[in-house]
Formats: sequence, structure tokens, C-alpha cells
Amino acid sequence: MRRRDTLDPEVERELAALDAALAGDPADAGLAAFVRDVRAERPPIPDGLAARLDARAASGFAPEPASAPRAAARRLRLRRPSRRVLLPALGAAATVLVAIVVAGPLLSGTEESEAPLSEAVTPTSRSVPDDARGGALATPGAEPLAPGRARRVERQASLVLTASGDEVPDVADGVIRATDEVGGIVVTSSVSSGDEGRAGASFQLRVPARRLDEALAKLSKLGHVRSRTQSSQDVTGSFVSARERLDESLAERRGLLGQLARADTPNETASIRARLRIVQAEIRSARASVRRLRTRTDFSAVSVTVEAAGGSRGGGAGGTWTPGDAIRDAIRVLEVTAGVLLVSLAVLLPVGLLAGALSLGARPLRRRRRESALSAG
Amino acid sequence: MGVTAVAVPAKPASAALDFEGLYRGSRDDVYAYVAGLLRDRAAAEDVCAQAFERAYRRRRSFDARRGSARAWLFGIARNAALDELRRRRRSATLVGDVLDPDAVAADDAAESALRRRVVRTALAALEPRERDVVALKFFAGLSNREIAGVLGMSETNAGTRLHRAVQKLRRACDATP
Repeated sequence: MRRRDTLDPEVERELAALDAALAGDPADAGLAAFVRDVRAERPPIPDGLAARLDARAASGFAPEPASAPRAAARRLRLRRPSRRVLLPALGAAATVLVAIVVAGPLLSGTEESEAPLSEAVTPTSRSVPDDARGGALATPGAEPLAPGRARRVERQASLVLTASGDEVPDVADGVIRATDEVGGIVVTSSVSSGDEGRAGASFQLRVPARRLDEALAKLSKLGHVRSRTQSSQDVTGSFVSARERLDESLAERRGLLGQLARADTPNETASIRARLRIVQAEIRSARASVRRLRTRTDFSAVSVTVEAAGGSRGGGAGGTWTPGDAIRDAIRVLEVTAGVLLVSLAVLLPVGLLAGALSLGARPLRRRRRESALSAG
Repeated sequence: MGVTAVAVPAKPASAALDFEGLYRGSRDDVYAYVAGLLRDRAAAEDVCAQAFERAYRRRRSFDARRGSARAWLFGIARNAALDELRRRRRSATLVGDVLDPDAVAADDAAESALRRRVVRTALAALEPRERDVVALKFFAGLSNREIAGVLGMSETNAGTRLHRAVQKLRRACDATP
């Protein structure tokens, strides 16, 4: 139920009379005397305080020169900032911390890890002994091989060389020359020349597996080795399987040819010939598999990339920091900035709401605390 | 004591509030109110200075739509005084009274001295909340509307509180021989 927000008429009349007496109206002599007596108790401002206040008012109420203990207290207050300053500061610090924690992996995780300048070799490649080139190998995880059967291991290598822009053509020539020297072949090649940002070359080579190390050594001397990777794969099982399939098909063909020689009827002859065609196709397939596997194990695939010096700095394929790199970097910076802002917002929004709620709740609380001073007397 | 003209440095943003005029017109009243509430001369001086300092610092936050400048200033002074009372309660400091009922000058005329003693005793007997509203009315000279603004309540409630306090004070004065 809503209370009437009006004064009792009697009270209102008495208050009006009080106001009149305070204004000097002598209508109610008793009230006027009472007002005069109470007002006589009005504490007069001390002369010293009045002068001090006037002086401070003239100076814009600058803080008074503090005594030693007050100065110390003021210094202490400086060291201990108020909650009004502390809360936003803590909130901002927490936001930055969360943003760093969240955005840190984002930043580092998306950066492509660059291969070390030293040789990067896969574990399997190092476990392959040098004497295993095309011969008996002890590759980890490979099936046991029957005595007298050589292991078949496919080896691959990748080499990234750097050279100054004008040296790239010479290095490219050196790659072809080194390939020839070890009896290999250049499957594909691509050489670009121009300014530092565009110069570069790439090659796909096949070199005899037994001379792979020699080839890599020669190629590595052509420029600064930025990365070198080798890998190997044991394909003995596949090779043996293809070989056996071929042997069986050959044996079957020999048997079918004998049966054909002995065939008496046209039907029998036709049947044997049909079967021979099938076996012949199987022989071709098995031979192709064997040949393919042999090629893969006898010749190692080598990928050579020649980059112009300084290419790694800008992240471009072959050179300096180009406008394209700048645009990519700018987009990346914007992405990260947007991410940090989003994370900050996600933290600041609830913190702000909480601070607002606390502030709203703190005001009446502070007021109640102040008023409690009057209750205590 | 009269208030001399004091040139308070004017700030452009405080154009809405004539702080200099407010200071000149309220200086003595603020002290009287604070001293009447605290009943401690030394503390009243500090609180009075503090109130003007706070008011000057916050002068830009004054909003004329929420009440008169005097109500705003006395609200600040009251908060400063209440803070002082709370501090005093925490440190359990005993203070001297500016309204000590026995501190009547010896050369006062007997009747006048007696009357003043009666009023002082009655004022001292008031509850702090009553003394607060009496000080705002009699010492600071605020209107009922301004008192309501200072106390943060409706004018009706402020009037009721003032009426009760005055009635109590009058009864106490009349009852004392």
C-alpha cells in the first residue's frame, strides 16, 4: 500500500510558523523566542579558520601543506591506490593476461615452423646403413628376409639451398652437372631469374640409390644448405610379392604352353588360349610392378630447391619482403588484433557488469554505513 | 563574522556553478552546521575545510536539476562529518563540546545565561539524527526542500523529522526550570 506523501496539516502549519519565525516574523512570540535562543547557540566560525579557508579558496583549495604524519599518510595512500583505481587496473591486468594466454598459442601455433638450417634427417634415414644401398638392409620394422634375398629400400631426399639472386643460375647449372656426375637424371626443372624476390630454381632428380650420399654431398656444396631431409621406406615385401606373382605367372604360362602343345580338340585349344591371355596380362602387370619397384629402389628421388638469399626473412618463396608479404602480414596482424580484442571483450564484459553491479550495491551500503554514525550517537 | 570577498579561481567547465558565490554565502553556515553536528570545534574546522575542498574538486559533478547548490554543498559537508563521526567511533576518541552546557560565560546576565544553558542542555540531549536536522534548519538556514535533498529523503519525511526534533527540543526547553 502506498503512503500518502503529504504532511499532516497541523505539522505543515507548525513548520510554516517555524519558517516565519526564522524569517523574523514575531507573530508567535514564544516560537520567536525559542528560535532566537536556539540560533544564539549557532557556533560562530573561528577567525583563524575563516582566514585559512579564504586563503585556500583563493588558491583553488590546493591541498594544505601536510604535517609529517599527514605527509606520510598521504604517501601511504599513494602506495595503496583506492579501489576505484585498483579494480579497473586489476581488470585490465587480468584481461591482458587472459589475452596473452589465449592469443599466445594462436600466434605461435599458426607460424610455420621453419626447418633448421642444419641437416634435418628423419629417424629412418639415419638408421639405414650406408652399405644398404640397393642391397641387404636392416630397416626397423621390416619383415625378416629369407637368406640370400636382398632388401629393397626406397630412399628420398629433399634439399633447400640458398644463394644470392645472381648466383641462382650458376647453382642451377651445378645441380644438373652434379646429377650427371653421379649418373642420375633430371626429371623436372624450373629456374626463375630476376630480382632478389623472384630468382629461384627447383628440380626433381633421380639419382642411383647407391650414389645418393655422394650426390647430396655434391649438391650441398653448391650453396648454403637451409634444410636437408632424407627418408627411407622398406618396400621389400611389395617387391618380393610382385616377383613371386611374376614367377608364378611365368610358371603357369609354361605349363599352359605345354598343355596347348598336347591339346587334341579345338575346344580344348581355345580354352587353353583364353587362359594364356589372362596369364599373359598377369605377367605384364607383375613385370611392371617389379620394374616400378626396382626403379624406385635403384634410383632415389631428390628434390632440390634453390632460393635467393634473404628469402626466408619475408616468408616469400624466394626473396625479400614483398608488398604481397606486407599485405599478408597486415592481414595477420589484423586477425590477431581482432582476436585479442574479442578475448578482451569476453573478459571485460562480465568484469564490467560485475563492477557495475558492485558499484550500484556499494552506494547504498556506503550511505547506510555513514548514517550508522548518527545511530550510534 | 562577515565574509570578505574571495576570488576563487574560475574554471570554464564549472560555469553552471558559481563556486565563489556559493563559498561566500555558505562558509559560516557550513562551519556552524558541522560544529553543531559534531560538537567538536577542532574536528569541525577540519571537516569544514575538507568539505569545501571536496566540493571544489567535485564542482563539475554538480547538477542543478537535482537540487540547489547549497543542498549539494551541505550534502558533501554532512558526508564529511559522518565520516568523521565514524572515524571517531572507531578510534573511540572522546571529544570536547562546543555546546558544553556548563560553558556559559560568567559575565552573561543571569537570565540570559540560564536560558542559554537550558537550550544547550536540550540540544545536547537530542539524538544525533535530530541534532542533524536542527543544525541544518537553525544553523545552516536551509529550507525544508534543501534539507530533504541533503538527507536524501522526501520533503515530507524531512518535514516530519524536523517537526519531531523541534517539538522535542521545545519540550525540553520548556521542561527545564
